[in-house]
This record gives sequence, structure tokens and C-alpha cells, in this order.
Amino acid sequence: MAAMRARHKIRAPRRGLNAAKTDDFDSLWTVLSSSLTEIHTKNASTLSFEELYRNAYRIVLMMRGDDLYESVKKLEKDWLRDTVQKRITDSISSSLVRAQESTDIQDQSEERRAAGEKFMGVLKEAWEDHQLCMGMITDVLMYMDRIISTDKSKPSIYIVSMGLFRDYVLRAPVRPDSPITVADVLESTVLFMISLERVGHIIERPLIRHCISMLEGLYESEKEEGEKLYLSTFEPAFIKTSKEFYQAEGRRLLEIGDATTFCRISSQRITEEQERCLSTLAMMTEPKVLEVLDNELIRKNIDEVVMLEGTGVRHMLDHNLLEGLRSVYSLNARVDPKKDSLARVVNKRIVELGKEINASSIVVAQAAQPTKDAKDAKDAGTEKKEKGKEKEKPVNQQTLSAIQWVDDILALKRQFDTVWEQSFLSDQGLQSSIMASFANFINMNPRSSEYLSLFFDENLKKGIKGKTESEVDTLLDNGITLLRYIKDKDLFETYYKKHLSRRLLMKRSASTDAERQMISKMKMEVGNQFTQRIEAMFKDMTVSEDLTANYKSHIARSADPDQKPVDLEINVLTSTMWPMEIMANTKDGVVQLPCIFPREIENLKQSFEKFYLDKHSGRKLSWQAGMGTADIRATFKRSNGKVQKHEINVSTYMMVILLLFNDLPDGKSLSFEEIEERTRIPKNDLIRNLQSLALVAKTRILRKSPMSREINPADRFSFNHEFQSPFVKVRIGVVAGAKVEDQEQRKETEKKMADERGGSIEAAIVRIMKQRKKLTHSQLMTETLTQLSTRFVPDVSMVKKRIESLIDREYLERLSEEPPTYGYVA
Amino acid sequence: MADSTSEYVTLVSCDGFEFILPRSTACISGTIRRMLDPASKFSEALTGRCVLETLTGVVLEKVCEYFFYNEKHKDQANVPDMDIPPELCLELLMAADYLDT
Amino acid sequence: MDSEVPLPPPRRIRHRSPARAGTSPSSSIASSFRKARRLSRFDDRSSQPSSDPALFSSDDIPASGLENYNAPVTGGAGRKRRYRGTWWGEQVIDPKRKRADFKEKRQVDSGVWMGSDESTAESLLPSEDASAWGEDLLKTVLDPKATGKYPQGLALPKATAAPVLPLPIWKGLHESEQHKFARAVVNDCLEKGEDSIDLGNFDLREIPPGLLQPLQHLTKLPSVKEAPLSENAYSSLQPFLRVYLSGNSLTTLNNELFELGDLKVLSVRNNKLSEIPYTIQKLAALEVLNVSVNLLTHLPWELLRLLQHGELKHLTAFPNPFPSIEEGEITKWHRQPRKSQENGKPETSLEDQLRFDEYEGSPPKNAWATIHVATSPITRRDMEGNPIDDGSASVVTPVALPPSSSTPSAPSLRELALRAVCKLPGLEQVTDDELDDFPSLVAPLMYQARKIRAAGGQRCSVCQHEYVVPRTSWLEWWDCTPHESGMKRPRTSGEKLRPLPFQRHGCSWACVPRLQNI
Repeated sequence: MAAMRARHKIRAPRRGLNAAKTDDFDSLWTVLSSSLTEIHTKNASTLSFEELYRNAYRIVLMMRGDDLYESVKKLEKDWLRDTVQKRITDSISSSLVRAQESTDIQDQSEERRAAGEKFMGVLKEAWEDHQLCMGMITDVLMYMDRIISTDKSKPSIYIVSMGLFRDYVLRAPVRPDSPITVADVLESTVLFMISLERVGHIIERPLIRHCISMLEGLYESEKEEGEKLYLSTFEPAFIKTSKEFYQAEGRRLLEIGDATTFCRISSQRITEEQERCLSTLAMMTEPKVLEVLDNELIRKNIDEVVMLEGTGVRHMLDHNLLEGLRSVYSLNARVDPKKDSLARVVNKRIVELGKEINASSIVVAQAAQPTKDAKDAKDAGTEKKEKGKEKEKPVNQQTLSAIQWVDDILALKRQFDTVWEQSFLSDQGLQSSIMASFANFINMNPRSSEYLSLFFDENLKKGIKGKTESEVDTLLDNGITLLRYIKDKDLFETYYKKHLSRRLLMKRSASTDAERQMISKMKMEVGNQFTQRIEAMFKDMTVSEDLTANYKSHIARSADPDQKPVDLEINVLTSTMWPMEIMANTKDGVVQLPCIFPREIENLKQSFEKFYLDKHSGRKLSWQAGMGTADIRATFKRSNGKVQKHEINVSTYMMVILLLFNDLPDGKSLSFEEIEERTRIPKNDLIRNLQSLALVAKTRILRKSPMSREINPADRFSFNHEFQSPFVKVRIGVVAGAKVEDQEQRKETEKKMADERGGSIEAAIVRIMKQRKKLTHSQLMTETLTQLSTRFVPDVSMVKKRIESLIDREYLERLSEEPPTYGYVA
Repeated sequence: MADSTSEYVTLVSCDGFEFILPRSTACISGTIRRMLDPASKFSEALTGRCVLETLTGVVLEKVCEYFFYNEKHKDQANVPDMDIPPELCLELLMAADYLDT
Repeated sequence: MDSEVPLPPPRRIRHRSPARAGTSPSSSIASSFRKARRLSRFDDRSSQPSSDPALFSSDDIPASGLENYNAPVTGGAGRKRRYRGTWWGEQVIDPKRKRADFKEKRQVDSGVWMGSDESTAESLLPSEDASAWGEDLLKTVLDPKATGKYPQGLALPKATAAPVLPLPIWKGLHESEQHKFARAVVNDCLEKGEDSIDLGNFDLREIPPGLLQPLQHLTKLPSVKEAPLSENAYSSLQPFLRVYLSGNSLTTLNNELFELGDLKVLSVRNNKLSEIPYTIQKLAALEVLNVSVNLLTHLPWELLRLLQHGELKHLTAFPNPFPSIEEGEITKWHRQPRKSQENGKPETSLEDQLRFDEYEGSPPKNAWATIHVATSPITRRDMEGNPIDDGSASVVTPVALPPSSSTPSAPSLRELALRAVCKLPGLEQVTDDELDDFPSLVAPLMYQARKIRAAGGQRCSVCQHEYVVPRTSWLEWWDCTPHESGMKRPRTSGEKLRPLPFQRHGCSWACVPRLQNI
């Protein structure tokens, strides 16, 4: 019995429901349907939610939920078709329909615009009403929806009603029998509005936004995968019109032909489109429309814009229009991560300008003996300080042009650095392409290495006087930047060593600190190997200083009272570290005999040699008289009986020459050949030294007969007792051989260079092969080229020749011909 | 008596019992929440008075008790069970279904 | 992975009780002998991975080895398994065909299987039991047109004729051949005190109601009438209950099965199960479970509890269409392999996650334990237990959103009411018809309540509260390899883990895995 009672209890309670008066679907539905209509006509306040809900609940419990669903669907359909649709189509003026058919837009734009706004207003209102009412109806029918959602086969009533709105309002024909639907009119109206906005009108954005969000809220179908109407219909149309618009816009802007305008308007368009997507259309369209803009407006035109005659990038670069360049850059960056169009023009311009600099430096160099005026004109750009110095001591014209060249390049570099930083936003890609362009034209100048070295030489000699440390630093850094561009670093090294040796031996260097700074900078830039020999040169100098001091004290100890002591300051140079031409005692294959020193000096030489070799046995000293200087005290017996003494600072050769005259009775003279024979000074040097002694008015210690501007072998020289100078100390410089090499020297250098490179190449090849034992020809070539690239770019045929030579000398052997392979012979 | 923003609402059972409780508490029920949604402007939303024809006073009282129970244990771990008299459990199940709670 | 190829079960001969079962001393010796063999098979690591061990090897069929697996079956020697198709494929004969076979035999056999018909081994019923069945009933039952569907709600009054053992309370007018057959087997076992119930390859689509219930009361009979011949003829009278349901077409397992609290061995291999009910937790004595070759995509969390805290030592889960952990959605990995920590490598690859720690010497403690490998994302369910897809509702609709008033931790009123319903007396007796009387949204809840009541309650795996409607669910991946497929050995160093997906439920939105714990 207990069980029975329990079972009675577990029965669906019907108490609440049984109280219902009616239990019949039709009567319940009648109440519900009239109420739903009330909701649509906005009379909900008279309705009780509970009653409607309860009715729907009952219908569902009666298992008539599906009928209810269908009935509501039909009610909504009728309502939309009969009431809403009419309201909408009525709001579409005939002008809108006409505009749809014909394409003459701009004619009655004002009229069409007003009509369009009215239409969109009505549509927007209908949509909002529908959403609100359906929200309420869905709430009322929630119980039914819960049933529906359990079997998942049917969409909720809300979704269905949205679909009905799409079908019976948006897809309804605007006029009976017209193929044009409300959605078509909406689409064309919105596009029309946007086209108005694009030409500068102000339009009702929020209204459009509402209509667009309606399209976003509706789907092609009730299925899960249904696409938004916005995406399936409106957006493609919008993209299409945008494409057309920007094609035309591109043409129009190009016709104007001003790059700056193009950039400005393009940037404006970009912001406009972004703003439009944000405020009028949908965010998801932004990337798509910007892509259209990028493609149609920018990508297709950027090349032409960049090249525009008179206003393009070249114009901007020449007039330093940083703003313009920046907008070109950002536009180009939008469509091309490499910014090729821009880079091309920039690079072209750099090379053009660089070539101009190269050309002008050649012009200067070729103007053999320019007049002072011409020189001034050329140097207009150089600093005044330099000019001042020039006057007091004329600098070789070619040196000047070399420095001019470097300065010009640095100026150009500074200009492009600014452009790069400020307009190109320090873009990595552009930086390297700019660098490549610089390297390109710098290496077009065959003398770039020499010029750069001269630049350093000049600056280290005197340029840095009166400059602060940081100024020096910047100066050197600038030079180093250029060094970076130079391909043949070994050539530069050669020149640098040559110039450095002169600075060191002739004590022309302004600051040892600056020199060291320079070396450390080079070390950072090009590497240890590069500066090794330069550093060795410095080391020789310091060692020599000590040596001199030691020797002095040695002499002092073992002083020979008979002799007048001759002070000796000596530099012992390691022959391999110093430039070849200094160390060379051969010329053109002929062994040059050492110069014959006067007796006193010869004694001194021997004494030092003894001293030195005692300390370092096994070494060989070879004396380079060409690089030394000497202070001599000369007594001039004037014809009026007065005696004038001067201390004269001369080169070692000059000293040797002058001492010859010590042994010569007054009034006697020596011929050029006699001097040459008695000193064995190389002819070149002899001529230069004699020029200084006999031809330069201020320092004419020797008299030459006949008087002419040239030194001829038959000329005779005698001591000039009438030498006049306001100073007690007179310095007689050697007429400097052109600092910039003449053609012959150049050939010489190149030849030496080639030899040295040959050695480097061989060394590299042997290094590689020793390690790899066996390599194909092409592999060996690549490796060799990579290894050497930090120093110079070797000629391929040269490398091949070297390989041949190594095979001949049995360092390598051919292992096979196909592909050509080499082996290392241990 | 009340406007749509009033803090309290009245729930009325089919046999006339009235329960006055805070709006937020009553809105624990999905159905009542929709009923009172101010945006919809149904008469209940306007008056703040809901007559629930399907519920008797006894059940509605228990429902209200549940509302307070729910509110009290909203964010609490280890909620103790509310006492449901066996004779009411089926009706309450139906009511919960109706009220979506 | 070796066990994913469905290997055929070893040849197995269903044991038919000889006509005079229990009377022959030789048979009892054989039986105890069998048992010894059988037990050794359980421990054999090299045994076939997913199939049940052969039980009755050769006492009545001489050629039962694998070598004559495909040997033609000689008719009349006994009802043997008929193989169709490839040897590794489906072994169950096409049901239609089988029925036709039956029909054929019935015509010969006058449609009645009589236990007394000793001339054929088709006889399943011991002749002594004929009276218990009631001939009239049998005749009606054997209607060849009977379908496999057992009409519910047609319960007849309890059979009164059961002389010794409690007979099942079922009595159907339209009982299928298969059901009929199965009942015969069960009854036979009950009769004989046989504790190994082999219902394999019966083509069952469901377990007929009342079929297994009597097994709760199975007791072993003292097997000898004469004195035992040897010491090892003695065996425990405590039944070592084994139920073999392999090779059927079961789609669900009913609660009766899980009422067998003494069940030690259960095989549901090669069926059409898509889910193992959580009620398996009631089989506290279960030692061996085979669920391979089914349609399972996950296992119940409660099964893991049996592995961890129960007697379950031998689980065969593969092959089954479990998602692979590589494809599964994982929100949290739980393992931090020692190896990669030593390397100082902060991120660990999937490969590392699935590799057991390297160790040397004796196996560490966790070499035997189950290992939690990963946890899937959590599915939230609404108040009716339907999953809420968090995926963005593609349609603008206000109703698709979960009612914001439902707070995470407090149970819904429906849940509370259902908990009360679960405690109502007589809930089990409520029929489906009565439940269908409830509103269609309430009825499923009532079914659920009844089911849970029948299962003896369901506790939230997180807060241990009893509950009815799950509000959260997620998968946890645990590696159980030491207990799987006859491995029964600790994990070896660096062994690849093969985690199984276990489904867990929570009773409220607050009952989710505490990730910070792990």
C-alpha cells in the first residue's frame, strides 16, 4: 500500500494547469495572436506578460508547440509582408528607383540624397521596431523556444523572424513587377552617400551605420554557416565601387603631376577610409578597402609618382623636403616592405651625386697648375681655416682635391643620413641600400683609397689642431664611415702606411693620441689583422726613441774628445712592417748603392751600427738616408766681411750635399754629376733636394749656374755666402714630391699591390686547402673570395692564375677534371 | 503603485497570496526577469506586480524562499542543500521549469 | 599501440553442461583443473591484448587450439561459434542470417528446445529444469517472428514455479531467440553453481531485463557427491563471479549488471557501447574489466577510482575510438618530466609530456600508479544538463545566452527539486509512461533522477555533493598502462605513456578542476 501511495505521488502535478479555463489550442492562440499584434503596434502596456507566457506554456504542454511555432511564423510573415513592407516601399521615392536604373548620379544629387535619407530613416525605424518587438515576443515564447532548442532541428523564433524580415522586407520588390528590391536600393543609396562623402560632402553617418548594422545582423540563411548579408552583398559592391573610385583617383592625381600632393591626398584617403569603416561601415571591411586603396591608388602609381619630373623624389632629395620624403616612404612602405620604388630613385640619385663628386675631384686633379683664383673658386666649399693655412703654406693642389672629395662625400652622407633618419624612419632595408649606393660610387673612383688616406693624413698632420677631442673623434669617425665603403681595403692600408710613415719619420704628426685613436677605430671597423702592421710601425718608433737615448748615453760614456759630437736620433724600422718604397733599396730592378755619407757621418753610422749590433746580433741595418733630417750650423761669410750664422734644418740628403761644400774652397763649384757621383743620392731625390737648396728663393743656400728653373746634369752649384734670412733657424723643406701620386707612381703602387695581393691570395688558397684537403674549383673560389673580401675584392682571373701557379709549384694537385677538383699536397 | 524602476516587486499566487521581494532577487527567475524587463513595457514591467496564475501560494512561498537561498549562496563554495518537503518537490520542479530557474 | 589491431579472440568453446552435470567425478576434476589454468592465464603478460582469456579450453572439444581456428565446424557436435568474414574482423554472424539458421533448426526441431533432448548438444536446458520453465510459456516464447525488442511495462506477476533458485521476475510473451538463449545459459549456471557466465556471441542488442539479477544470489554447489579424489579438487564455495558479454551488439549496459556487487570479471568486448555508465563504481569487487572493441570515446571517471582505490587490476581498453591525446583539446598539462627540467629547458614538448620519467634501479612508486597527464577544456551545461557552446553565437538572439541569474555555485531550483525527487519512495517503480506524462522539458530530468536513484546516487567528483544534473564536464587524461592489457608491470624507464580519456562531471559551475593545485 505504501508503494502504491508513493507511486501516486510521482505524477506530473496538474494543479496549476487544471485551473485553466480553456484548454483548446485555437482559443489560446486567438488570445496570443491578437496580443502579438498588439506588441507590433506598440500597445504592450495593456498586456500581461504572465498571461501570454502562460498561454504559450499551456500550448506547449498540450504538445502543440510545433503548431504554435508555425502560427507565430505565419503571423510574423503576414505582418512583415502586409504592413512593414508597404511602409518601406512607400518611402522609396520614384527618383531613387530611377537612379537605380540609370547611372547619371551627380545630376540630381541633392534630391536623391534627401530621398535616400528619408528611405533609410524609415528602414532603420522598421528594423529597430522589428528587433524590439521580436525581442519581446521571444521573451513571451521563451518556453516554446526552450523546447525548440532541445531538438536543434529548428532555429529559434527570433532567428526565423529575422529571416522573415530579410525575405519579406529587404528582398521585396520596390514596386510591384519591378526586379529591383529594397536591398538593392539600400545598397545603391549607401554607396551613393559614400561617393558623396568622398568628394567632400557631409553625410548622415549614424543613419548609414544603422542600416549597415542591420545588414550585419542578418544572414543569408538560418543555418549556422549562413553568411552575413553585409558580407555577401554589400561589402563586395562597396569594394567594387571603391576600386573604381581609386583607379580614377590615381589617374586624376597623376595628371596633377605633383608628388607632394599625391602623397598628401593618399594619406588623407587612408585616414578617411579608416574613419569610414569605423563610423559608417564595419570594422571588418577596413583591411579589405585599404587593400584596394593600396593596390589601386598606391601600388599602381607609386613608381610614377616617385619618378615625377620636377616634383618627385629627386626633387625632394635635392631640396631636402623631408616631409615629402616621409610621406613617399610611408606610402611605399604600405605596398612594398622593401620599398623598391623609393630605394631605386634614392640610390640612383646618390650615385649621380657621387659621380659628380668624383668627376669634380678629377677635374681639380687635372688642372695641373691652376691659378690662385681658380683654386679659390674650387675651394669655395672648404672651411676657412684650411684656406688660411693654404696661404701660408701652399698645399699641393691634388691633395686639396682629395680632401675636397672626402669632404664632399661626407656632406652627402650627412644629407642622406638626415633623410634616412627623419623621412625613412631609420628603415633597415633602405639603410643598407643607401650604403650600397655609397660604396658603389666611392669605388667608382679608382683613387678613393688614396684620397681617403690623404684625408686622414691631412687631418692628423694639422687638421686637428685647435679642435676638441670630440670634434676629432667625429672627424675620424666620418673618415672611418667612408672606409667602410671602400672595397680595396688593402690598397687603403698601403696608402695609409705610406702616409703614416711620413708623418712618423718627419715628425709631422700632430698628436700621437689622435693617431692611436685612429688605429683603434680602424681596428674596430676592419679588424685586427689590418692594423697589425700599423701598430708595429708605432712600436718601432717608441723602441727607436729608447735606442736613441741609450746610444746617447753610450756615446757620452765613451766620448771621443777629438770629435765634435754629432747628435744622432735614429729610427730603426722593421723592414716588413713599413711601406715598401721607404725600405726599397732597389729601383727598377737595379740595386741602389747606399748613399755615401761624409766622413763624420760615416763614423757616426759605424759607431751606431756597432752599438746596435752588440745589442741585437744577427740583424742587418740598412740606412735610409732619404727619410732623415739634419740640423746643421752654417757660417755665411758675406762679401762685406760680415759673418752670419744660421742653424739650418735640412733633409739628410741636403746635409750630405752641403757637407760636400765644406771641403770645397770658396768660389769653387760642383757640377750636378759630380755631386751625384760623390754622394750616390738617387737622381730623383738629388734633383728635389737641389731644387730646394738652389731654386727656392727663400732658402737659396746654393747658387746654380746657369740660373734656370730646371736642374740639368750640366748645372754647377756653389755655396751661396749671400744667403739671407730674417731667422736664425731656417728650415728647408724638400720640394715635396706630389703627395698624390703621379701616373708613374700609381702604376708602381698598383704593381706592388698586385704582387702583394697575389701573395695574399696564395696564402688564402693554401690555408683553405690545408684545412679542407680536397675541394672543387668553384668551392675553392667561393671560399677564397669570402676570406679575402674584408681586405679587397680579388680578380677572379687572378685567383685562377694563382691556383695554376700553386699547382706548378706542387702545393696543389688536380684530382679530377669533371668537376675540376684540387687536392692539397702536404 | 510602482514604476518600472522600483526596487521591490510583488509576486502574486493564483490563490491570492502576495510576496514582496527585491527586484533583483525575483529576477533570479529567467521568466520573471523577462516579465519585468523595463524595455518591453509589458504591464508587469510597468506596475511591478506579477500575478503567477500557475503557482499556488504554498509553492510560490517555497519559490521565494529559494530566491533568497540562491541570493545568499551566490558565490559560496559547498552550498548546503535547501530543504524541500517531499510532497512539494514535484510541484516545485514544475514551477522551476515554468520560471526557468 | 600493438593492441589496436582487433585480434580475434582465441577459440573459445562455450561450456554446455553435460546432460548429467555434476554427477561425474571426472568432470569436477576437470573443472578444478581448468580453474587453475585460467588463473594462470590472467597473469600471463603475453596473452592477447584485448580478448578475454580462453576459459574452457579443451575438456569437451579436442581440437580447440588456434591451429584449427578456421577448421570447418562439424554440425551436431555442439553449438559452436560460426565465423564469418576475415579472421580478424567481425566474428558475429550477420544477425539475419543467424536467425535464419535458428529458424531452420527450429523446423527440424519442432521449435522447442527441450533440455531433455539429449540427442543434440543444442540442448541448453538440463532436463531436470524443464518443469521450472513451463512448457506452455516456452512454446509461446519461441515464436519465430519474435523481435529482439523486449516490450517494457508488460511485467507479469512473479513466476511462482521456481523450485530451488529464485527465477527471474521477467516473463515476456515475445522473447527473442537470443534472449531466450541467454536466459537458458544463466539459469544453467545458477543451477550448476557455475560462477563463470558466458553470454558471448549471442547477438544480444541489449541485456534482457531480469537476466542478470538472479546472479546476485548465485552460490556454488559443492561439486561432488562422492569424496574428492585429490586435494586440489577442493575449491572455494565463494563464487568467483565472471560475466562474459563479449561479441554481442550491446549499445547500453543496464543497471542490473552493476548490481552484481561480487562481480570479479566483466567482459563487454566487441560490442557497440558508446559509453560505460558511471554506475560501474558499484562493482567494488571488480578485478578484471575488458571494454575493448567498442565505440567508446571516453571512460567514466568512476572507473579510474576503481583502478586507484578499488580492486581493479586489469583493464583492457584498447582498441576503442578514443581521441588521441595529440588531437585532443588540452588546456592544462600536468606532467613536468624530470629529464627536461635538468636540461633547464623551460618548455616541454608533447613528446616529453608523454614519456615516463627516466629512472634507474628499482621502479619508483609512481611506476605503478595512474598518472594524470592532461585536462581538457571544461564544458558548461545549462540547468537541464545541455552543453552550452561557448562558441560565439553566430546569430543575434537574446535567448541563446545562459540566464545570467543562475549563479555559479548555488544549485538551481530544478536541481534542488530533483534531489528531493531522488529521495521519494517508489521512484524506481515509476514507469516510462508515467514519466512521459511530465512536460517534455521535465521528463528527461525525471528519467535522469530515476536513473541516478537506481544507481544509488551520484556524487560530484569535485565537491562530493550528491547531484542529479551535471553542470560541468571535462576530460582528464590518465595513464594506466601498468594495469592495462595484461601488462601488470611497472612502467619502464622512459616508457611512452598512453593516457586514456576519463570523463568527469561537476555539480555546479564552481565545480571545476582546481588547476592551481596541480
